[in-house]
Amino acid sequence: MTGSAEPADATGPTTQWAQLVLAPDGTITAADDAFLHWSGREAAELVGVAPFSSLLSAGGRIYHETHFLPLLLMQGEVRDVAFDVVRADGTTLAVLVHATLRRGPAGEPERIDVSVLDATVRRSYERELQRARRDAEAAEQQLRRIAETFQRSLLERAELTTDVVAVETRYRPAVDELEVGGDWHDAFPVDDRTLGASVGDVVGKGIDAACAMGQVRSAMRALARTGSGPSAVLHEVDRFVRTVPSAFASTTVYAEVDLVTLELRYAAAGHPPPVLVHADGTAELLWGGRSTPIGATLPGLDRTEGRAPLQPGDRVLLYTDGLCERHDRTPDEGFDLVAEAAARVHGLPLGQAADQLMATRLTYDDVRDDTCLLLLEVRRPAAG
Amino acid sequence: MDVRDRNRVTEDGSSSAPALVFAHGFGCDQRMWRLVAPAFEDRYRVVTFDHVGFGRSDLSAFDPERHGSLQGYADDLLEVVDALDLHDAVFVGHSVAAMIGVRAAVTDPGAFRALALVCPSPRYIDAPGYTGGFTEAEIDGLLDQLDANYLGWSAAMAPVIMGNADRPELGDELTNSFCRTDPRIAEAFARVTFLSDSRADLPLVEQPSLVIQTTNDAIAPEAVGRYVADHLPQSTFTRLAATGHCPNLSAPAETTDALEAFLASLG
Repeated sequence: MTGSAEPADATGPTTQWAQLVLAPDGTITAADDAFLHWSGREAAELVGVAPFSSLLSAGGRIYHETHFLPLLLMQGEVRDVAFDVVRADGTTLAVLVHATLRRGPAGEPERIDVSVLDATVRRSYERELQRARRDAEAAEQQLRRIAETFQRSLLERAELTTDVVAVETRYRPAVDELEVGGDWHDAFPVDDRTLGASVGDVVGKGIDAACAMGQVRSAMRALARTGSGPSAVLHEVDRFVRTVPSAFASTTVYAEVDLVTLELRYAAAGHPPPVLVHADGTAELLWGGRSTPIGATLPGLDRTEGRAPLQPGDRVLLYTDGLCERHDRTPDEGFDLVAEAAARVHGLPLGQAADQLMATRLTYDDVRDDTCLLLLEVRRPAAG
Repeated sequence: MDVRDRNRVTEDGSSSAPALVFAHGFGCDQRMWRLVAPAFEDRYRVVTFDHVGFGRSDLSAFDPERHGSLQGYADDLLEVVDALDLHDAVFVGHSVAAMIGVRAAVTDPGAFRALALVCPSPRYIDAPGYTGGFTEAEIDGLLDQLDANYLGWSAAMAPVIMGNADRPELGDELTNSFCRTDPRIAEAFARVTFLSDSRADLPLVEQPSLVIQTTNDAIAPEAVGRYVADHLPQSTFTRLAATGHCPNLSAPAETTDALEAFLASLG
């Protein structure tokens, strides 16, 4: 800065403001030269003749009657209302209007003082903002669609049903979350006499988590087909995630049902315990086969597995913590609630039971976390 | 959800007296009636409320489908009547609420004893043989107008409102708050209001009705008010000296007198 005054811009407007005075019924009673110049009208066309609102666009006239005047009458003052003034030649001028209602001694409206600001530049700037906002909204919607499609493609519903076992799976995305989640479910034949089922949760959200989820889920399915059993599968998954850092510390439960003996074998890596609902409707949490989250193994600590005999009519529920997690109670209290809920819906057909469980609000009303569940039912006695 | 909370129902006057239900139009909220409604409190049970999405109604109750037509607002109104157990109430509706009342009266003819319609219009857009006063393009212009204003308001007001979420009463004091609405809801209501056509409802109204017409109403011109009165089977037409679309604010005494005369005529 040199300290010397800038010369006045000879080409710029002489003033940014124009002044009007209106009668209480809105008729213009005085207009300054600036307003006459801007509107392209003669004083005789306006003063004592035209209501201010008659100079506005049709939308502006409605707004004037439904917003501007009520506000002025209620508050005595209105500021920053955007209008388009229609000039004599039909073109429009974007303005911002401030108005003050002056009252007489008895409180009756006497006149309305109006200041009009040329808002051409500001309006075009606002239109840019509006366009940017609309573009952003459109982009957000597109991203949401991509995310949903992506997730759906990873979580094709696995209603894998054999003569012996029926499976229902459900997935619910997190409320108001743009990003995809990292929860998964899966059910597949391991071999001719074994059904595999997994539910898991990759730490974090977003495309990164979803990609990691897809990899772990596929890896687990491939590793399971070696027939080595739940604890060995988790052990191999531990090795696998060394190459997929985003999948580190995932939690999962992997279970296999022997379709001949009806034995359930399962292993949980830092994951909520499965629920076994017996044919008679009593439920228990399966606390066996527990170990640390995927990749977070300690030397000397092996992956373990639990076993439980199943009977026709028994159901097994695998789920992620989105079903029951709340900060104001312990995880164990949440698991108990899941077991109770699973027992409550035991009388319903399998699909309805899965729907009910998903709809049960064991967590906050606005479920932040995404949620997966897998419900399987033993339909027939073991062969032989 | 409690209907009284949903529509922010306010009751004054004697609960055993005959009821007057005041409904606000497009733009602001139930406070549009604050210079008129109190005049009836000594003899009536005076009920005012906010349409869902406006004033201090429960915004979460706004359902784009339900509130995508006047029928949804009429159903809300009938639920308010039901929740308050009103019988033989007289409905007073301003602007678009006039046609909400008409729709409610056609939906449930027993809900109201009579209808007072202040600055009504059954259709804002011109049609063959009918002059509503606006073209469809002009109504699109209104949506732009709403957009232009909400941008300025939301930028200035959002921080103030957000910062006081736990003290909602502060919101009442904010400049322009009386006509402040979620922009998406305002746009939806503008579409419902200005794109609606209630002409076919008018001959179906069985109750005595009053049409209050002002001078130089830029939104519901006199020809439109006359049309409403001509097509309501039992109507009275009253023309006020007051100008503009909101006589309930600009000329409360004259508006009150017109309502008083109508109520007296009902016996």
